[in-house]
Amino acid sequence: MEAKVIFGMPILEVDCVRKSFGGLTAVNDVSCAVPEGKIFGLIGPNGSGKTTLFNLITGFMKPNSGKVRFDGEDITGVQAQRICKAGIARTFQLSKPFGTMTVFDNIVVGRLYGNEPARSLKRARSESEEYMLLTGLENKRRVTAGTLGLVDRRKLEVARALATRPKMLFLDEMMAGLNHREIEDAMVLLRNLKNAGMTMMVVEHIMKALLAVSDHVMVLCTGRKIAEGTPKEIVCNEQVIEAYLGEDHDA
Amino acid sequence: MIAQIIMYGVIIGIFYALVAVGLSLLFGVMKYMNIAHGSFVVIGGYISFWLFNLLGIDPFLSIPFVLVIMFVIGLIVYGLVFSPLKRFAEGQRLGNSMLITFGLILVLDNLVAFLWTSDVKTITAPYSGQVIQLLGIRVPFTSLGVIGVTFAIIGILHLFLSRTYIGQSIKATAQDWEAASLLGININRTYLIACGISVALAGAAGTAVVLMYSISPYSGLEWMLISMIVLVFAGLGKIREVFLAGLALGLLEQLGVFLLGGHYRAVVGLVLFVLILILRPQGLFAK
Amino acid sequence: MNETDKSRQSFLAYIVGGVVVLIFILLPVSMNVGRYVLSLLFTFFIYIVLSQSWNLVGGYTGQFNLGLAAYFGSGVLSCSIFYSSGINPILSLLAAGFVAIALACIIGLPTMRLRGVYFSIGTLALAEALRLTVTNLWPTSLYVPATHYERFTILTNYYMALGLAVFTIIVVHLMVNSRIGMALTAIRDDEDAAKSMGVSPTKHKVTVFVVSSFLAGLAGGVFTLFRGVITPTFQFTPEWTFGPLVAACIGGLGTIVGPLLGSVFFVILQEIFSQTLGKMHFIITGILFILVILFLPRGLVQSATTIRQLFKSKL
Repeated sequence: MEAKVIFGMPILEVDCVRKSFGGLTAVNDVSCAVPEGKIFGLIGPNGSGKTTLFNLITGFMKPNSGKVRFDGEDITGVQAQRICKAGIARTFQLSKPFGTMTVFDNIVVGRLYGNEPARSLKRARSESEEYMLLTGLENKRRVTAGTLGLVDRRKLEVARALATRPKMLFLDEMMAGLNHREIEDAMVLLRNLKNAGMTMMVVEHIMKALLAVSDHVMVLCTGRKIAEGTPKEIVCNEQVIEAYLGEDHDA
Repeated sequence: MIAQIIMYGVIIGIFYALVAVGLSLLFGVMKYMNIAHGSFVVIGGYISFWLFNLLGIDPFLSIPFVLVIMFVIGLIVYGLVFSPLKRFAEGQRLGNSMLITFGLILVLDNLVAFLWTSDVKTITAPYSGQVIQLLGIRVPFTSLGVIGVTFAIIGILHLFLSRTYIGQSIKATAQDWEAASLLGININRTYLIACGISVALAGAAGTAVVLMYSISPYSGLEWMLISMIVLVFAGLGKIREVFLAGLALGLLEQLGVFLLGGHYRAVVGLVLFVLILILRPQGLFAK
Repeated sequence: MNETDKSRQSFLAYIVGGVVVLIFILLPVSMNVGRYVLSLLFTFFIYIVLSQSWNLVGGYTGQFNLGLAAYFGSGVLSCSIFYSSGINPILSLLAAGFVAIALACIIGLPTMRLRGVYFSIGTLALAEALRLTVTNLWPTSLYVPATHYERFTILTNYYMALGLAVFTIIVVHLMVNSRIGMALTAIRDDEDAAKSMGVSPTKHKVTVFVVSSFLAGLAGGVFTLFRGVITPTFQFTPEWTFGPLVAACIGGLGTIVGPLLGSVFFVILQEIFSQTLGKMHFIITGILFILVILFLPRGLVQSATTIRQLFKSKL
């Protein structure tokens, strides 16, 4: 399927990417383009290949075929740490804090090693403060990250990713398991980030929230792209409705 | 000449499979790495040695006694060392099992040295040194006996695992302990028995060691490394492939001896082992 | 604990450390301590270097290197060979460190691709392969030049070992408190997350492994200058890995104080029991080691912290 070019220059272009595990094709020739400064939503039933697509773009898996271009450079199959340095940051569905470090030090790692690393440890520390404030973790600064609750773990994932100063942010189900208030907070955060000019690709199982924040949505089903368009177009798309029928979701 | 090399390779390879099978079983079932496995081999050897020297029991006939005694030791080891490991999160158990069994090496090896001095011991049975001509190749009688014992033990193990309830629960637990426990299998008891069998198998291997070579308190590491090599050749936790892996190691070692000389026998195995770890971590015979 | 508390605490640590080092420096000149005590302290210093070296990889990256003996042994062997071929002893000692680095690059780097248990058994296997090869190539004892015993008294050896121990602690301290230290902890805690934040696991693991090998090699060199006559095969035995490993684990992995504490413990235990039970002290050490792993996974250092917290909460 051809990637639809939508409003503005794409910062990320995914071209016919494919990944198979044994006989199972988890991502089947998916293409998409994400324009700078927009929120690109990715939805699909369980096992539709959303996380695999994330892993393919962020360097945690190598695609069998296809190309990924970011900011004018070919990043297909490049190691994850290089991709981070190229300006892509991600969060994990199952949060992965550095368990023995403090919340603050978790963020400092991002400032030390990310896209625009700070020159010294001291600089990194002072520059990390803003991400504590931004995500509302300032009163947890000396807490050991391994002991955090679900909500704070999610916040830390985002804060850490932002601390690498990415050009684009990949958020993998950051709202799963949160209550309504917390989802509202998360959506405010996303909008603020967008207003600050951040490009984002967001995977979410909670359709309502995703459709509310996204500028553009792609729907995956069993590894294939079945629809793409504005949130309005997506909710009316018959194939999407069909794919989600009988699917247990929180929408 | 070539035939002789191959014959020795086969004999030693089958013997290596016997040395390694217990370690493989334990890893397969419990996902623990018991680096004290070699020390259990040595203890088994000592038991045979003393049964022979004090009571005059033929080493081949002593194997059932060794199996029983070592089985009990295995149960005790499970209770004292492996069972408390379950306190750790699943991701940390493997690493910690290695550290703890490492501590066990210190305890067992030095206990053995304390009890039985650090002299090198071997059994000289009436038939030791006798050689049989097989298709023009000279084969030591004891080696032939060890091969017979290995086939018998691996055969019985196979029957036990496939025909009995406990054997089936061991196999099920090895595949997926959570699913097994949902089916009503008592995981603790399965682990306990698997550990007993593993140590008993190490003991039987010890009898073979004392017959074919010799034992001393600190020689456990050598047998542990051989088991480890076989284990990695076979693919971690694969019991059926151990036999082929043992054969492969035996033959490759003999080839090494032929090309480089006897001093480098173990070096060949160890270097191949690291190469396979790096290039084919899933094992030589895994599909 | 806030930032000022922390800096006050580390200031205190520097003071205590400085005083202890000063005591060790002044000890032989102010008191007539004799050869026995000096050799014992020498062993203690070598244990500090080796356990810190082991802990750098084992404690800070979570990779249990079971082949440390290879790097120590190669330091002993190469220092002896250089020295006996007429090279200056201090240069031979430094060369020993670089031989260990070379060894780490040739046989150590391939094992860096291995993870977890594979890394451990891979390093053990290579160390054993090297031990057997060395035994084949240098089966007899090696001697240093006859002039050695005029130049090196036990006191010189004592100060060299002390110097190396202090150097090691400073190197480790600087490393773990730098950005490298942050990366190492991050990698140990979650390798994938570290990668996603731009930290290269391989680069950092290799760096640490090389530094660790260098320190072990230097320890080997200092040991050679102490012993004079060495039998290479004995310096490659796994005991040289296991001792430092036990010391680091008993003391507390991933801390600087841990291996220090563990070394004190280990050397004292070894000394007490070697008078009465010979090698039997390993039985007690082994049992203690198992108990620590099971019940104090972060070593004696952690239990000290726990006890202190207990007191604080009571007050």
